[in-house]
Amino acid sequence: MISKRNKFLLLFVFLPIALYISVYTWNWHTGTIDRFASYTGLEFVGWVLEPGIWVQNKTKSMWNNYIDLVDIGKENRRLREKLKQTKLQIFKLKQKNAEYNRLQELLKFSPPKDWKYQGARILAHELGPNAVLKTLLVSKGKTDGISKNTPVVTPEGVVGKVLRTSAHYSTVLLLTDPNSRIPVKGKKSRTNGIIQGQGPYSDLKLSYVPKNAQLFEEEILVTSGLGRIFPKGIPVARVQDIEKSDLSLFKQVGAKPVSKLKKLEEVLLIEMNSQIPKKLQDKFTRK
Amino acid sequence: MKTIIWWTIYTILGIWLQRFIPGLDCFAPALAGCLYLGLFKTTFWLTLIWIIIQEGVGGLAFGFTLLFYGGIVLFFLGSKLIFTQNTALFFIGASFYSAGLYFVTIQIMTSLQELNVPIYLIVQNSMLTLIFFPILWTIMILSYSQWMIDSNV
Repeated sequence: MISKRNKFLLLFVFLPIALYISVYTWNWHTGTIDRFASYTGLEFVGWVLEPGIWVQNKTKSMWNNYIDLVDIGKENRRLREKLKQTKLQIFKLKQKNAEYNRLQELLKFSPPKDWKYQGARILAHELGPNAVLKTLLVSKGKTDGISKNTPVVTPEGVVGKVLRTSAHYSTVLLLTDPNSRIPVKGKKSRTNGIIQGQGPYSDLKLSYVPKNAQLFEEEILVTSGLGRIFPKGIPVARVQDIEKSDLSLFKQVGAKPVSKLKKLEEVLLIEMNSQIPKKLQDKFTRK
Repeated sequence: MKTIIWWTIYTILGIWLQRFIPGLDCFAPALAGCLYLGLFKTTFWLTLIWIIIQEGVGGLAFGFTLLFYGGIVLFFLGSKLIFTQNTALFFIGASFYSAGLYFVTIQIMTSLQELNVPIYLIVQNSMLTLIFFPILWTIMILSYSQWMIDSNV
């Protein structure tokens, strides 16, 4: 016979612990509860925040229109928008040109394919006690064609990648988070490495750069395309300092993100299209 | 119906406050407040809903909020049997317990998921819990008593 004390222990201590571990392990393998929480919780929070942010932006813009000279404000916005687009165009053309020169030398020309961009508004940064990773909540989700690992950029460069999605909203992992790793190469030196976040108050770290490899201070690091997540050639960071250690086979390289992550209001999401074969897309977006 | 409206407004305001103060948890103090006021059925439903919300917007895999809110609910239910809950000492002790529980739970979950989270971020969020837990707890109890209990009398 089970004593009263043992019954109590079984019912209120061991049973809940066993149940918790079973549910946790099951979800770890299948991701079912995570998906359910994203589709309900994340979606609900998006619905709560978006109208408020819309009202906030409208009020702000009305106030600005009132106190500014309307025509100058309009002209300024139009020029800023044009500048953004021109920056993007220049950056794409530069990359195309560099790639063209390299490929022409090899006489193996393959034209780069177009990228498909989507703009998204930032609704919030780390939200709630569970958000210990450096993340953003953005206003685009699965119904807009966004999936896990979708690259997130600005006209300046890389911001991060999508961590989880709901129907209309997504969470983006910033490149400054210590769990973010992006394969990059020097724009001039073409030296490969992995750029890693070090937290919000620290520079990025470029790992696995051999001691004798060429790399320059102030050099721009661009995505290498090796991770099969980011398209090749998007600026990520600028090299700040390079140190050689006697104990390590690799250089110690510090870098600063090119995107102004603290001042972001909108981002661009790059849809994975023909650049990555369907089979690989499935492989890398699967949990 | 009035209760549903009251908690819906609290949830919306809580989400907005969490937007302005990253890392803050507005729902754990309300759960403690519910148990303090003896609203057991409400606590059950709110725990379920708030777990889904916090897990949905968080970056970790499922499990942290369930463990954290479970720890809060167990502590407040258990302490009802042992301590007098309306003393300043209990109030301070409960705030320290919540901050400590947050620190331990997040450490366990990030280790289990092999995530690299700087310790200062966890300490920062624990301090937020320590400071805001008693404030939100008091606001919730006072406002609920004012609008929901007094108006029913």
